[in-house]
Amino acid sequence: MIYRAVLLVLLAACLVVQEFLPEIEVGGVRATLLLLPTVFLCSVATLEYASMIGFAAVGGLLWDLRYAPAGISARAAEEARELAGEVAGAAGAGFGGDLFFGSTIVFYALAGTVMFGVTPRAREGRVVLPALMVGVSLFLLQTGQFLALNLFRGGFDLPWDLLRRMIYCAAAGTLAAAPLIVGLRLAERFLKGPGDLPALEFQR
Amino acid sequence: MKRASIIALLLLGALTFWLILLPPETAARWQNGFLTWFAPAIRAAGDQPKAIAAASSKEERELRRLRDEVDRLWIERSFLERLREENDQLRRALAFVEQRHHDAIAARVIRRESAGLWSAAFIDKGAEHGLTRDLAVIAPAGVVGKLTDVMPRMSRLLFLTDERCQISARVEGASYEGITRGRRGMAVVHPEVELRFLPPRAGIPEGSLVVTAGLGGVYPEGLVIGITGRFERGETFGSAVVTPAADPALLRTVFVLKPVEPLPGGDVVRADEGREADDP
Repeated sequence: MIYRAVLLVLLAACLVVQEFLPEIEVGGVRATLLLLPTVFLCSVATLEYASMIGFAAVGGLLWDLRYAPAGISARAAEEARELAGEVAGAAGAGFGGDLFFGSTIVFYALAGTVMFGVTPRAREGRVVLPALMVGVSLFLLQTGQFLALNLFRGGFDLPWDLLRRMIYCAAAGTLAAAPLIVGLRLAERFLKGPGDLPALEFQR
Repeated sequence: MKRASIIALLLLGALTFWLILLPPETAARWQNGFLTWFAPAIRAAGDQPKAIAAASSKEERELRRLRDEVDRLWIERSFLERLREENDQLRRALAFVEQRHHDAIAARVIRRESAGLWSAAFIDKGAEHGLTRDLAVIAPAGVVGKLTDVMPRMSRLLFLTDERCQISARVEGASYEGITRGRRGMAVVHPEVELRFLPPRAGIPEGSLVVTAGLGGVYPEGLVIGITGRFERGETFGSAVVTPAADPALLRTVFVLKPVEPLPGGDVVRADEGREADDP
């Protein structure tokens, strides 16, 4: 219980720390470490499935509160339709809907489910595969979100630059994952007590 | 599957369904409240490079202030020139046309969005400074975007390079009008925008100036948007790639255009003065 409360505070703190993380520029593309989803995915290694779903809801909601421009989507679609009609007589062209507020929760839950597949490995103390899976899950999380955006807005567009950005963000997450998984496992052991964790022997 | 997992999934489904049905205004209100509460973190992060630099001496601050002032005066001058042109046209036509003027409120870009999929930034002016959403934002070089969310002391600015920021535009020296919009998910440092709904055989030469057409009510007419690049022909419409004149990656200070309401006699009054006058 205490561990989960600490994890909740940690997720909220990630949102604050995210503000201070710098962007890296690689080949004209900007990328950054997506801290909140990375910590969430790492924490999956220490949670049961039901708890993971709960944390997906909290993390996704926090992310959307900070990053989803909820105030503009519906208005923008209407304005774009009017403008298209006014300028080119092509009313209704140009802009569909947008991802609904809170949609990130679903993507977090899906990415968490993917990550949950390697939880036994992490519980055995092996961190290489779970860390790689954090990167894969991060990439799937971003692409899934962008493909859903395509679905809602209409048309299909997946620029190569964006794909590169997603890969760099996922790579940054992978690099941060191993120490995070170890740290979270240790925190879990410390806060829950060794009795709850029969197998925490890190491989040499 | 365990019973707890099934219950968790059902609850997640219910939460998602409820959020889908949530009116956008409610979501926007929640987000506005959250961002107001979260603003100190965004401001602190925006001030971080300055703290690191630590070399902002009094003279440097004065120099920055003077530069901002020069930019503001430059924008005001361009507006006055446009007003003069309009005045000349009115004199020639001997007809009254509604006079419209804007106040340019200087604001500092405090934080560029780096983690989301959107092309946006935060500026250090908000509702306390008389800003409202959907106000046009410009820089001396040209159009920057518009305000989407306004908190008490901070606002979110959507760059013109975002897909949802659509501006009616025309090509200077030609009669073609279209709409500019950013490309979906543009992640490059210096993104381009697209001028759409052009006639398929428009044949716009590269390097043509694109300016706002003044339709839609957000952007005044004649503001520079950018320079055209290659032209792409479609079956129904053509489109041209436009390099924005104001590069979002380099912006430090921007100007929010606050409309000044016209009076029947042709005089102008500031929007906030008008509201004050209405109060008993």
